[in-house]
Amino acid sequence: MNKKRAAQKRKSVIITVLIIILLTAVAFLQIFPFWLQFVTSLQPLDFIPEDGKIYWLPVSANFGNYLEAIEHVDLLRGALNSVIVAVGYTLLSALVILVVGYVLGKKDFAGKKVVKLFLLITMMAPGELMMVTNYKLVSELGWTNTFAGLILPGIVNVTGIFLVMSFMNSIPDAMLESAEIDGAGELKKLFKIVLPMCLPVLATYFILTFVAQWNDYLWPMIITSDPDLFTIQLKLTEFSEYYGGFADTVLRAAALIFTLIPVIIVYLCCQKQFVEGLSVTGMK
Amino acid sequence: MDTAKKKKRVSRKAKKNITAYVMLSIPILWWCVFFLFAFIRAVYFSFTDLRFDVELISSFNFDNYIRLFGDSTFGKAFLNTFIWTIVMTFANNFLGLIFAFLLFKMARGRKIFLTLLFWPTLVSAVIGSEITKLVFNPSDTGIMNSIITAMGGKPLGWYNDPDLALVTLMILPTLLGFSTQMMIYYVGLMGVPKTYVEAARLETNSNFKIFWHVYVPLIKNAMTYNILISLISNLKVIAPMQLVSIDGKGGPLDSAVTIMLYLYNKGITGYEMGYACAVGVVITFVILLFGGLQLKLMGKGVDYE
Repeated sequence: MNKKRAAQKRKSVIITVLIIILLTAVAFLQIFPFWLQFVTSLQPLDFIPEDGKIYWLPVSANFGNYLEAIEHVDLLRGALNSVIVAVGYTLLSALVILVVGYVLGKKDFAGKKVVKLFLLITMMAPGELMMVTNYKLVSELGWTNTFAGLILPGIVNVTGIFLVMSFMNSIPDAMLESAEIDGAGELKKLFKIVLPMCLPVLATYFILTFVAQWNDYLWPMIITSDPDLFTIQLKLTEFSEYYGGFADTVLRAAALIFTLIPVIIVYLCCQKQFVEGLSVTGMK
Repeated sequence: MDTAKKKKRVSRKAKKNITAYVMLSIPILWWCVFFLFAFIRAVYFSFTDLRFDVELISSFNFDNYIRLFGDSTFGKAFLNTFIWTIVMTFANNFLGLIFAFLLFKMARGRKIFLTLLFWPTLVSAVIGSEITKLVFNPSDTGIMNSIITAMGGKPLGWYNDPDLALVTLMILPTLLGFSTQMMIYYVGLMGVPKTYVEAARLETNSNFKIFWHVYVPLIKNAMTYNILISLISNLKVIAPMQLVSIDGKGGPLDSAVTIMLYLYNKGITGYEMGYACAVGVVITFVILLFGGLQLKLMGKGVDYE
């Protein structure tokens, strides 16, 4: 019996080792191109790489390239615009999903099923079909090249509504009822009871949405033509030739790594929220 | 007395309805403007010859749809989108499921590898495209071409080669694109009760059999969801084609144009709004068809509880 168990244990160790080798190989393949970009971003600007040679390490580490890239691509402006859009969108849409999620999750009213059905349809429908008409609408409203145009059209975030709605089960009805007996109005209930209890799920929403907004490029590309309003992703796509030759490649790589780093930091700090957000929206 | 009570109850109910709709009013209004109105308008425009620069509707007929049938670029876009969707949905879900299961089977070290394999979900479309441009650069100094040359091969044209363009664009999303699916499958596998697996162990020793007959049916909900989401998002693919190809319009000879990119080229940069909306209506139908078909084929998962 003991022997059998020992054999089984050995087998499981071998399997784990094999899996680790395979997964390490895949993880390496995934990181490799980014590592090459990082290496390139540190090469000296006047460096001439040998044809057909892959550099695993830079010939010398020139962190000054990052300053140059930030200046040349106007990355700080892009980052600032992205932060304004991401924070503005996330806060406004968080308010919307809180109210809608609360009403749909905790209240009975005529037509609730219809509202839910429409939300489901919205989630499945391709938002991009409306790309052209929303572009027209935004330009009719005079919102092209404004933060309003970047932030406002999409603030009814259906995924977020489902996220909050599924969380409502964990708020006991009795709590809301007793507040009602004490004479609390809807606003008071919403902000004094529901909001504080929803903070964990809102934190998840905040992080996921912030990253999604930071990474988005299509809508900003459609409605902004003024470089002062470009988000950071647009600044990357609009990278123009500067020095010519390899120096541009270096600056481009530096700009790319600079854009990726904030998201990676957020991810490493808030990994739990990423997984939670996925498992909640994914399982419903 | 009874009727008074009833009246009171009715009025309380009415009050409840009013409160609910007052609270929902702004979100519903917003949704009506930026979703419903935009949607109806798109359908309406699709029957007109509206242009962004002229802003005058002079005809209302099926011309756009008739034109679509004879439009060879649209045909190419349709075919490319179809191929892309099938390949990418399969690749992302297959790899996602395999790696989720491997992670699940590990005795220790799961957390590190979850972190290591999940981060690519953070790579934006723009950054991913930059990486594709770097790795598959058609020049002799591109990374892939360097490797090929070092091994004695001939450098390839990658995304500049009409025959290779679409395949080239698929490589990086295959390598980096399965992390979301993997995580959802992983969460699903963690939810499979141990007792079922132990019961199955008494019957068979084959890990593959257990995987196929115990785990797979129990994570069918995750599968249905994952495949549906993959189908929908891949049918709308635009970023790699738009950002990698040199003209931004889908590469040489329309080799990598997709329906969404065609819509963008016609409606946003090309001013042909009416025609672009017709393209949009067709995509919507395709997405509904695919989504409905998939839900019908896979249905709901097994639930032993």
